[in-house]
Amino acid sequence: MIRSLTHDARTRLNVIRTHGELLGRVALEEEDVRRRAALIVESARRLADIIDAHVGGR
Amino acid sequence: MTSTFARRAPLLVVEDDRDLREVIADSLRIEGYDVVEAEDGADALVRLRGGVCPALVLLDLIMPHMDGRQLLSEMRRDSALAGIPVVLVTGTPPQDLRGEVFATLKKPVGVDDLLRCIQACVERMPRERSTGADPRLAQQR
Repeated sequence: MIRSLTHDARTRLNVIRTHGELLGRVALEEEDVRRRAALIVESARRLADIIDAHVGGR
Repeated sequence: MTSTFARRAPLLVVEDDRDLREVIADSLRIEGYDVVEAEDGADALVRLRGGVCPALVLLDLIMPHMDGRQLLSEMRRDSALAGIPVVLVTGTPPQDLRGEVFATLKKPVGVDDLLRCIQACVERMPRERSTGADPRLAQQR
C-alpha cells in the first residue's frame, strides 16, 4: 500500500515537474500551454488526494 | 543510395501513466530524438518483437499486465533484445537490478537528468548500435 502510494505520488510529481520544465524550455502554442497547465493542476490535485489518503490512513 | 544515417534508432519509453509517458516523449522529441511509446511491458514487448529496435529503453517498474521487471527478464532471455540498454525510471529503485540495467533514475526525474543519462549511455554503446556521438541516435546501416 505504502509502496504503491509512493509510486503514484512520485509519478504525479514527475508529471508536474516535466510539464513545468517543458514549458520553461520551449515556446509552445497557446492552446498547448493551456493543456499542459491544466495537466499540472490536475496532477497537483491528484497528488493532494494521494497525500490525504496516505495521512488519513495512518 | 542509402545514407549513413538513413535510419534513426528511437528511444522506447515504457510508462503506464499516460500523462507522464507523453510529456517525457514530448520533451525528448523536442530535443531531437525519435520516441516510441509503450503503455506497459506487454505493449513494449510486442513493439520490440514487431521490429522496433530502440537505442535505449526508458522503463518504469510498476505497471499493469507486464511490469518492468518482467519485461527486463523477457528481454534478457531473447538474444535479439538482450543487448538493448535499459534505464529504469522508477519511484522505488530496486537494488537487485543494478547489474542488469545501465542506470536507475528516481522519480521525479527531470528532463536534464534524462538527457544526461541518455548521452552517457550513448557514449558507452558499441558503434554499430549508436553510431558515434549521438546524432540523435542515428544508426549506421
